[in-house]
Amino acid sequence: MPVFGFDFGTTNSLASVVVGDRVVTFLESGQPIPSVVSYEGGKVEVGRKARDRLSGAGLGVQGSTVRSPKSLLGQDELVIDGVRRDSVEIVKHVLDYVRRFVLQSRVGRELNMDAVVATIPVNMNGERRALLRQAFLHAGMGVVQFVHEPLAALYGYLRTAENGNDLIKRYDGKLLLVFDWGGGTLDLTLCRVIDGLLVQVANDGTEEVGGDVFDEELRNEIERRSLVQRRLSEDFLLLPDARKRLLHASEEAKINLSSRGTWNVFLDNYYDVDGDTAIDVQLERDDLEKIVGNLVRKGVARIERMVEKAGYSPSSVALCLATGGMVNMPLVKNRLDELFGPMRVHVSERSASAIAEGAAWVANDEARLHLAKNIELVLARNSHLSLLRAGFEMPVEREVRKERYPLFCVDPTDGFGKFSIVSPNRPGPNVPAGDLRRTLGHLLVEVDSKAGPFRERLEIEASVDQDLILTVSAWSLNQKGHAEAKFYDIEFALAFPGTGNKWISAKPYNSTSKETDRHERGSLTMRSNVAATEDLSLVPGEVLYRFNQFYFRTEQNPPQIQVLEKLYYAPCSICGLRSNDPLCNCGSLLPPQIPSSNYGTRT
Amino acid sequence: MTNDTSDKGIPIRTKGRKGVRNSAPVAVHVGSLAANLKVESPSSPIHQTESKNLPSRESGNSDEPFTEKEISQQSLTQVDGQRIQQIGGSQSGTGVSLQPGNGEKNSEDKGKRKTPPLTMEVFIFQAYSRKGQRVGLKPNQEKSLSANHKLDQDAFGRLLDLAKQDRLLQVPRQLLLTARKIQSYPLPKKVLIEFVHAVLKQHPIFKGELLRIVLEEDKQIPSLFSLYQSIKSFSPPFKIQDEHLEQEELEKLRINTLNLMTVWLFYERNVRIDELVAVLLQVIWKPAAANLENDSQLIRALTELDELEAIGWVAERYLKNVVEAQDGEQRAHNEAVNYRSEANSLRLSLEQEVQKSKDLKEQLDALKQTSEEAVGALQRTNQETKTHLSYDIEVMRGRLIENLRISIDRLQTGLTALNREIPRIEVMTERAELVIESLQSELKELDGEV
Repeated sequence: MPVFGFDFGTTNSLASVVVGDRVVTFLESGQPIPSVVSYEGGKVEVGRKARDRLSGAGLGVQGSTVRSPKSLLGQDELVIDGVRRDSVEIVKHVLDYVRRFVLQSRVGRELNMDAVVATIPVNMNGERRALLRQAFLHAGMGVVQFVHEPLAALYGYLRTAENGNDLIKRYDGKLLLVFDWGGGTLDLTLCRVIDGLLVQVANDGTEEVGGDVFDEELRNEIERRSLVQRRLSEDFLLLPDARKRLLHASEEAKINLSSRGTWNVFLDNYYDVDGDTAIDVQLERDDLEKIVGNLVRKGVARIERMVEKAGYSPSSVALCLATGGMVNMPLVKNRLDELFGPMRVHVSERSASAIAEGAAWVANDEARLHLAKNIELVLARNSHLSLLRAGFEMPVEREVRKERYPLFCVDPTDGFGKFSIVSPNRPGPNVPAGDLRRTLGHLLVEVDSKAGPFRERLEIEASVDQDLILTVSAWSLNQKGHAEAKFYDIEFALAFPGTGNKWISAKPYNSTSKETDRHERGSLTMRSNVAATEDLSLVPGEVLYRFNQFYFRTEQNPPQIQVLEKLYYAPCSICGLRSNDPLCNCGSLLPPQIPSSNYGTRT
Repeated sequence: MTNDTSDKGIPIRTKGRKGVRNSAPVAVHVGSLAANLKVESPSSPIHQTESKNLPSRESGNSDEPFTEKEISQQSLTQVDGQRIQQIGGSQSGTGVSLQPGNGEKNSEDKGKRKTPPLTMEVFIFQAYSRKGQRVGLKPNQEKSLSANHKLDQDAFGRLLDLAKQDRLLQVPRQLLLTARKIQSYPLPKKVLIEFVHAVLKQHPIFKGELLRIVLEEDKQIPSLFSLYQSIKSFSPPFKIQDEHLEQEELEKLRINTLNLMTVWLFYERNVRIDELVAVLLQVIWKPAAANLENDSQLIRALTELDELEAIGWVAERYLKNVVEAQDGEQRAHNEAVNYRSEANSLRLSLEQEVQKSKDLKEQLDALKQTSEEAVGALQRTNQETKTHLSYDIEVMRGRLIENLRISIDRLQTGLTALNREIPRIEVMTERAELVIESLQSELKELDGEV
């Protein structure tokens, strides 16, 4: 049974499947299916008919019509046309419509659409992924795997290119940008090819410069010019659906001005006036630039910002893969060419279906998502234990993958075992201890505060479920404490078939380096008191001294740091306060010590 | 082969008449006959016996007195001769004399009187008088017998009564043998055989089921072994002729019956001689040999054999059988060796063929699998091609429809613009240009696809 690629996009939805050596995409009259649901008159309509009821740009609910129901996933019940509706149910309408469309087509009726690889935006968290999976199930489809949209597009591009494997080798270690500018959103993802894996490096996105915003801007300008032309006041009346029709006409103008120097926007029955009711405005390409140019600049500027934020420059990007309807605008294409150079910009010929087709190839090749970066536990003295290493294969439908580790509590004095979960900025399994890390979260588990070091045994488990949600659980076996945390924004890599996953067999970097680990500026860190081995050097000096004074005898040669800790936190012999207590000034009361070179000798 | 035991003078006890040994009912019968006849002979056996005048001996020391046995034998002979004379006097014919197997002639009678023709009754009578000794016929006697072969009912009855007195069945075998020797005259032969048949039927030993079956020609002969065993184990359930049979007599009866059965089966039921010899060996000779306890008994038995021809025949036959068996065994062994070797080579060939067939089957399975895979791959490819073609048609159709729809919209918009009070020609021009471009592009696309 084939597995379909399903692009449930913000603006449009599409399904594709690989048959033999070609991908088949199910378009409705050559166009993708708009992700719009209308409940007007109590009747559910999806697709073009629903979209034709929209009168403006913007995502979400517009009257009785919902645009991009994906963006509403996770919200509380919505009221549409006076009826409470569940966001999962609304999404299900779109998915079901696409599925039925596929199965009723000449090609699709011989296939079974029960399983899909579904694309998701980079910023869709695990909770929403779980809801999306639910919606797919309600529509009769199981989600075998989620794939991020830009990764799917990139995968499809490399997979179908001539000498795709050579391309992968050529791009190994290089930066690739996926630029998806559609009707609703602009999504940017910076990737790198590392050891045959497409790894996300950074991502960004905005709804402010979606293609529909362009249309709206254009419509507003056309209307303004027409009012001036006809010397009408602003309180003019319009005939029904006039603005909606003008929006479509504006979209047409935007498209036509890509290839023509001028375009006459003509729409009869626009104004509710006696006599001439038409709107008739001529636009030139320069006008288009003036009207929407700032939007284009805004969108392209986001690329520059994201790339720089990731620590790179546009010149270090080896390939800019542009998808989405907007990239066909010469304005946009020209700006991209200026930024990256025409040789490095590839505008997808089938830009509307690039993501769905990429997902279909992912499904066909059974390409799997892998963890892009280590998920680490900070151990005492700032070493790291990789709970899940980069390259760890993500589970597919109905799978859960996990790893479990036994630990010790090094310092139980405050009654808690403290677990800090971090992830390096650098992708891949080999990350030096001194590399920057991002804190994902913390867990606290109750321990016996009276127990000595290493007495309290702890366990930690890291698991990833089918919705790519990372769950970290910790237990204290003596005190029977338990804590759990979920993390939704882990980063993934997509393995290219035939290249082998070298990360799986890579030797982990020695994580017991003495280098001080680095954290992102402004991040909150916690002193970890857990260890994977019974190493007394990990115990804070002042704690260890309470249980093992012999350890600190000179001849035992204890680590200097533990000696300092012991002294630093030891009570003052004069006032009894802690020696680091600011109220303790006893050190200044002591007579200066005269060094004696004749110690022990008689004069 | 043992002789009939009648020669040994086995006493037959007659009820109420102790001390008198009467060796044959013939004597009684003849005696009664003699009482009715004018017996010219001065001596009659009964008279002589009663008067204790011993007859002259035919052989031996004439000075010694006759034994009772000899008297009875002599009496019988004289009675027989008288009787024969008497009977023969009423008939034309040649003189008749008893013919032992060796063809001895009755010298006393020779030339003394004219022998009357031999009738069947007389012959049988004579045979009984010989008490189981061999009975022979000269050619003229056979001829005479052929002319006088009929036995009326009375005569048949008389002879049957006479036969009843032969409780040990000493005589029927001789009659049967004699009948079989008659070659040229089937009628007397038949009568004799019928008589013997009747004699056997009336004897108690032939009342048993198995022996009864043997006498019935239309019935299948039972197993010879069980048949002979049944004779050997015969024990009369009742008294024969109200007279007890001693164990020795019973034994003789069994032997006589076995021998008689052998002759009957050979001649009347066409049983092969080899089969008969085999069953005689099993049932009579081997058990008899088992009674030999030592070598001296064996030597005695070997040197007291009378009928050497049979011994010789059997011995030669068995020797021949042994030789044949040995030859057969050798042949069989050789054949077995050959067959074994052939079987081995066949087995080897079979194994090779089986292996070959197995290999062929594996090849066939592999070919089948390959062809199935190839067919499957071909089917998949065909299906994929079909899907691709359908998809291309669908894409083309969708694209055409969309283009046509857009073109229509454009032209409609253009027409609307033209139909205004002040026609907007630029609007129509633009739309028409776009439509033409679109149609040209579509044409190019279609040309490329076709």
